[in-house]
Amino acid sequence: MDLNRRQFLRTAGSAVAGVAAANALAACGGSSGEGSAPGTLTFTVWGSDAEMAAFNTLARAFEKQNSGTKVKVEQLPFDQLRSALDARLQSGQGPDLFRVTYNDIGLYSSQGVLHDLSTTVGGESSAFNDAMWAAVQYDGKPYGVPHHTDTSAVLYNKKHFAKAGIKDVPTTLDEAWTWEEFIEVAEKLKAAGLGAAPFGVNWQQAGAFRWLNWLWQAGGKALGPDGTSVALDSPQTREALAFTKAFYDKGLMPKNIMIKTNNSPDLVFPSQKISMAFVGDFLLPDLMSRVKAFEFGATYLPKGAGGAAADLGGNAVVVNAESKDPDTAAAFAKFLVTAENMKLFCEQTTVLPTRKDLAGQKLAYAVRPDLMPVYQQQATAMPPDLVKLVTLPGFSGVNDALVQQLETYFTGGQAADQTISALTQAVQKALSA
Amino acid sequence: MASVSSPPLEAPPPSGTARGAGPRFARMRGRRGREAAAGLLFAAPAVAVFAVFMFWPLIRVVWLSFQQTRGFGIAKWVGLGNYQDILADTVFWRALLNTALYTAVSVPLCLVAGLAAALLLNRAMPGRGLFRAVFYLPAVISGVSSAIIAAWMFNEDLGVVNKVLEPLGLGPVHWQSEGMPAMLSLVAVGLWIGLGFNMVVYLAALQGIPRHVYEAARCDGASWWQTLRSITIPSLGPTTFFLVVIGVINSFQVFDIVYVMTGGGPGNATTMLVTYAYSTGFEQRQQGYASAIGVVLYLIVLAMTLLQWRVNKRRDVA
Repeated sequence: MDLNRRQFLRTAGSAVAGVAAANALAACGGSSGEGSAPGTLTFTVWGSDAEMAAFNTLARAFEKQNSGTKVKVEQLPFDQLRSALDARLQSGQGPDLFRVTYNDIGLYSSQGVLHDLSTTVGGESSAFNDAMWAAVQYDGKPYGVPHHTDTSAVLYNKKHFAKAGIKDVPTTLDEAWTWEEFIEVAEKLKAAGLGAAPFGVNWQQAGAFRWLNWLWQAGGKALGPDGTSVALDSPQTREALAFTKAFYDKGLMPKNIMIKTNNSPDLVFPSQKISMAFVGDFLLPDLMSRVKAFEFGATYLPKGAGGAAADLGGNAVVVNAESKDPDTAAAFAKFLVTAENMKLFCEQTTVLPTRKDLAGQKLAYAVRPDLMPVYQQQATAMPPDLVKLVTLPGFSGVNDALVQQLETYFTGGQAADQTISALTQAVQKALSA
Repeated sequence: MASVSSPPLEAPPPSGTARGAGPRFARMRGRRGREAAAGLLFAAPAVAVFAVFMFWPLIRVVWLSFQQTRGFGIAKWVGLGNYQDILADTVFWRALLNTALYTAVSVPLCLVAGLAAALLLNRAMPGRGLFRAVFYLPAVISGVSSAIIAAWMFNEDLGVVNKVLEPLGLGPVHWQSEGMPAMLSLVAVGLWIGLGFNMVVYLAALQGIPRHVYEAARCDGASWWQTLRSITIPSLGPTTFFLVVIGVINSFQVFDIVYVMTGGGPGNATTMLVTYAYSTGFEQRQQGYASAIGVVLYLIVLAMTLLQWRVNKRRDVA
């Protein structure tokens, strides 16, 4: 068929209009939510290869026990998960379940985004470690299951320690180096000229809150005894700030492992540019694949005048309040934290259990089981008031204030008083959130 | 005497239309109307996409900028409160200064380098296609991937850049821990990514300059430099204007390389407006305040584009 220009324009224009109208109608017809088939739960997580394998194993086991139910484990990069998830939740397109850090769960709980799990796991509060159970509570109700925890310890390069003549490495939490002993060790390593600097602390970006370990070790607190006032303006906060700033000023920590950077100690440690790295246990599988040239051990975080203190790491699993099948989603969340399933997840991914009945057990960790007792002991030094602080609904604002203020303070752009004042404002805001 | 009947009175033709052209005009108007309708239908998908993905979000951002919201729960109307906060926010002003500095350095550099590459690769030479592809490659690779590669290259302990500079006595340069080198590393990577696009646009424009103009100049004894200054650069005026506008907009929106390479540090030395808005909106979850930063950024880019447009128009008239 021959078409002249006018006929072509008319035909093509009609076709375009038809397609546009069809699209508009499809849009008006509404979406099918997540696009999941009926009986399918969508579970959104971030995770390492080991974590994804464990999540998928558990999802298949749940499907086997619940015929007709499918669990789609959806992986997103950690950096993008928060913004992607927020956007989807705001538009009513959120997944049925998702993984969330203890730092973020307070915000979601307080904004009515999560399904109340009182009837599902509420009766099992005694099964979980008190601090972990407290971490998933809001207004006295559980809004998630405490899936696992993790914390930081100090990994050290055995070859470098031998060269620097360092023989005494603490093997129990009671023997942990004091701040002064830790600095002595670092000075010895620096004098031996082994790398760019002796150590790196893992307080970058989302981990900025780990600086609070030093505050608690100094005997400081962020909150007053009533739990509703800010107590940061103290000599201990000044001491913790000055002590940690000196890491950079004295050349004990490389300046390119600052707060805002993506250059974290676990990335630098394999290059032997640092001899000690503060690292979370969940990073051990990845680290083992990258450390080829030397052996490394683990010891405890240093103790200050206020004793030992370690950060609350780990994640909970929560159910979306708008899930089409909240009961099955809640059942899956509960399934993830049975003793058997939590044990499997922890062993495969080198993280710590939150159940009391697993706390005393020796787990068969897939990677570096020799180092995990250090992390297990270190986790007993998580101060309850630090746990309370990091699970406040507005804590993400505190972490971001720590990123901004510590970076500015450490690079010499701001005085300690100004830093404390800005942090006080951020914690006040978090308390009122 | 036979009477002559007078013709029926016609309605006066529309002004400017010759007597007797009415039916033809109506036919033309009908044809043009149908063509215009078809044209509008063709434009409709693009307009729909713009409306959904550009205009509607823009309206929403302006609306959000008057609120205090985390994206969840009940938003609080704060009027101009977020804009008042911006005025007192030192990090915002630092971010604006950094963004302006980055733009002022990277846009001219990218233009000069793009023109130089285009001039070089516009002449017959072995492997010309390969070199064109090599220059253009960073433009088609994802910005995040390029930035990850660059972050390793500029790692001050392990990176290849310092490994090359150190034997020459020029290093180590503290690309990650000092403000000025960190900003320079961003400019260098921005140049690497942006050069290819500028080169391709200049190449297309160079091929549109009539050869006989160059031949005439050669006959008149003009040197290479005189030819470049008096023929090539003036002929590329509209192209340069286009690239300046695009370059300024892109530079004011720089995000991925900063986010991956420096995170805005050390301190706030490389914090840019978009990275600050992102951090405020998605990390601190102050979406109303982040929207206000976005609106300010929009107005700045709009004002700069209008200014460039006026300057260019005045130059064309002159």
